[in-house]
This record gives sequence, C-alpha cells and structure tokens, in this order.
Amino acid sequence: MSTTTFSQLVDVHYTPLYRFALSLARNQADAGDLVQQTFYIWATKGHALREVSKAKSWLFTTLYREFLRVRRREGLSTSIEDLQPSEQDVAAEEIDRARNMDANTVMLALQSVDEVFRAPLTLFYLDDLTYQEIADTLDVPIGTVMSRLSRGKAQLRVSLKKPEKNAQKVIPFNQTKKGHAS
Amino acid sequence: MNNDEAKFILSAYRPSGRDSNDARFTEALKQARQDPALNEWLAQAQALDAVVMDKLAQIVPPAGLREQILAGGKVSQKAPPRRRHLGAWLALAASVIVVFAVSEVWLGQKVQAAQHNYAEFAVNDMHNGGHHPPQGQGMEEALVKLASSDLHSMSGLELSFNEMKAGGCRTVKCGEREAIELCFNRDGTWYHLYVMPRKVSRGPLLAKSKPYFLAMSDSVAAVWTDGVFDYAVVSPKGLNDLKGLAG
Repeated sequence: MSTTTFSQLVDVHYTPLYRFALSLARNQADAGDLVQQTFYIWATKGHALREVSKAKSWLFTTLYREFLRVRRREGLSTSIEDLQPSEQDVAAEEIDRARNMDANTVMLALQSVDEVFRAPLTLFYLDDLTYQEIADTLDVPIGTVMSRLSRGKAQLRVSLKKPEKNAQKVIPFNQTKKGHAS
Repeated sequence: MNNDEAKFILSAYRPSGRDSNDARFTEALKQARQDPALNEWLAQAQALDAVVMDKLAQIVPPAGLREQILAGGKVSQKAPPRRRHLGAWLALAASVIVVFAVSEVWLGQKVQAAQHNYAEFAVNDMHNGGHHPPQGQGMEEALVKLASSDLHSMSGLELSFNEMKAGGCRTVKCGEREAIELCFNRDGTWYHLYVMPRKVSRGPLLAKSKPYFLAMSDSVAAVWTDGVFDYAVVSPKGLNDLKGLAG
C-alpha cells in the first residue's frame, strides 16, 4: 500500500475510530493508543486485505479486538445492570436537556454505559457501519446487537438525566488497568 | 407484530436514513406509519438519537494524533522486509550467543580442569622429588628473581625453555607436556616452581588474571599463566604464604 493510500485511509477513518475508541477506553490517551495500534496493524497486515472497500469494517473490528485483548490481559470485567429495553417514551425535556449539554458531557454519559452495551451503542451513533458490519465487528448476531442497543439506550437515558454522577462512575481505562476499578 | 416488538426493532433504526433499505425494519416502519402513537414514539426516540449523534460528531481527536498515525504507518510499512532481515540477524546473533555461551562454559570447565590437574601434578611431584635449584648459565639471575619477586606479576624468566633445559634444569612430564622444575629458596623455605612453555604445549590457557589455588594435604599450589609460560608453584607453608608469593 502506498503512502498516499495509507494517508487517505487515515484521513477518512481516524476520526470515527477515535470516537469509538474514546467511548470504549474512556480516556483520550488510551483512545489515541487504540487508534494508532489499529492503523499500525493495518500498515503491517492490512495489505493482505484484498478488498479495500472492507477496510472500514476491518479497522473497526481490529480496534474493538485490540480493546478486548488489552482489557482481557488486564483481567477487567464489566458488570451488567439488569435494565429493561428502551421502549419507554422519550420526553421532550430529555431531548432538550441533551441538546443543551456539551459534547464531552454526552460522551461521559455514553462512557458510563456498561461496555457490553456501549460498543454497539457507539457504533450505532457513529452511523458509519451497517448492522451487518456492526455485528461482524462485535462478533455477535444482529439480533444480539439490537438487543444490546435497546438496553444500552435505556442506560444512556438514565445517565443523561444525571450527568453529574457520570464523572464519578466513569473510570478511565488507564486507571482500571492499574487496578483502581471498584 | 405488536407495538412493543415494533419499538424494539425501531429503537435500532437510525435517524440518518442509513437503515432505510434494510429489510429488517420494513414491517416495523410500516406499522409506525399506520399507528400515530407508535409514529410519535419513533419521532421522539429519533430526535434524542439525532442529538446524541450530533454531540458525538463534535468530538474531535486530539491534535497530533493524525500525524502520529501517519508517522507510525510509514515506519511500519517499511518494517516488514527489514524485520525479516532483522529476524534472521537476531536468529544468527542468538545462535552466536548460544555458541559463545556454550563455548565459554566448555572452555571454563576445561581451563578449570587444566588448572586443577597442573596444580595436582605440581604438589605430587614436589612430594615425590627433592629440591632442584636452577642450573646452568644465567640461572643465578633467575634464582635471584624468583627469590625476590612477586611471582604472579613476574613477566617471564627472560630465558627460553630450551636454555633452561640445556642448562641442566630438571624436566618433568605433566601428561603430554614437558615442564621444567625450578626450585628456589626464599627466607629459608623451599618452593617448587614448574614452568611449561605455551608454544610447545597446546593445553588450554590458564587463568591469567589471578592464580588458581589448590590445597592438598600440607601443601598448596598456585597456577597461572603469562601467555608465554604456564606456571605452577608449590608452597609447604600453606595458602596465606603462597598468596603472599603469588597472589
């Protein structure tokens, strides 16, 4: 792959990849590392991918696997709260409240969602991948993606209602790696 | 499909229209168009989704990340051929290190064995023989040197092996190697010095930095080399005495 092609690939995908990574890793430094690592793997192995059209899906999948690999190595686990799917009506105040929040506060709310729901939820909001691609990225059936999405949205709505609590709830990835998770 | 099932499916329907051609949503969308309450629910849910999407789109990567990725990519793209070579070099280096390590161990063991054998030979020969002061031309000078010098730091005897041999010095066999015995007296004590030329022998080099000491019964031997000769000196007065002489 030429330097120009690689540069174009980075320009197109590094921003949504970073947003996905930030949602997963919950801090800028680890998110940046994840994105860099993803492109590093592409630069060393991506040339084996014959269909460049699949590069986007490949990059998201690789980033997610890298995140899981690091998290598994650190022995972290995610608790799953038993929330009902998001089928309740959305009140107009909820929409207004979210609209008045800054992007970082909304990201913090997203980061407070349990990881198993957070990954599909972020990919949903990034709007970059089809459902099949999201399912492939997360290596789960589409039905599971939709189920997790619904529950993830329920958690997000709770978090958006209490943004001041999210800062306490969200433990950056680099701190959980040091064993500070409660 | 009831409305709960439709809500479950429609909660995954993105407001951007990306999923408009996805057949999974067709039936639920049709139901929403026909049911005002469901349609209202969908509109509100999508409004919130649109806000979150918009907020997420405002997140920008930190400055410099793009440049770091590109720089890393350039290095990585050039890396494979180099890494293959590097791998081969690393493998070769590892092999060399292993060979050296094995050689070092093997040589170390061999040197230690040679030192031990030479020391043992010297002690045994001293016990079996009498005193044999150097004889022949130039030997007086050698005797004075032996009687007054630090043997270990002494650089050769300034006499060739053949000169010592021709001068009448006693020669003995240490295995396949021939050594000359030079007995000298220092402060009333007789010491036995054995000298083996390295050029004649092909035995392993003895420890050059410091002597190897071997205590046997009431005698102690020290062996070392200066690269020209392999030396062994035996003292009947113990280790400390010999360390003062050849330490």
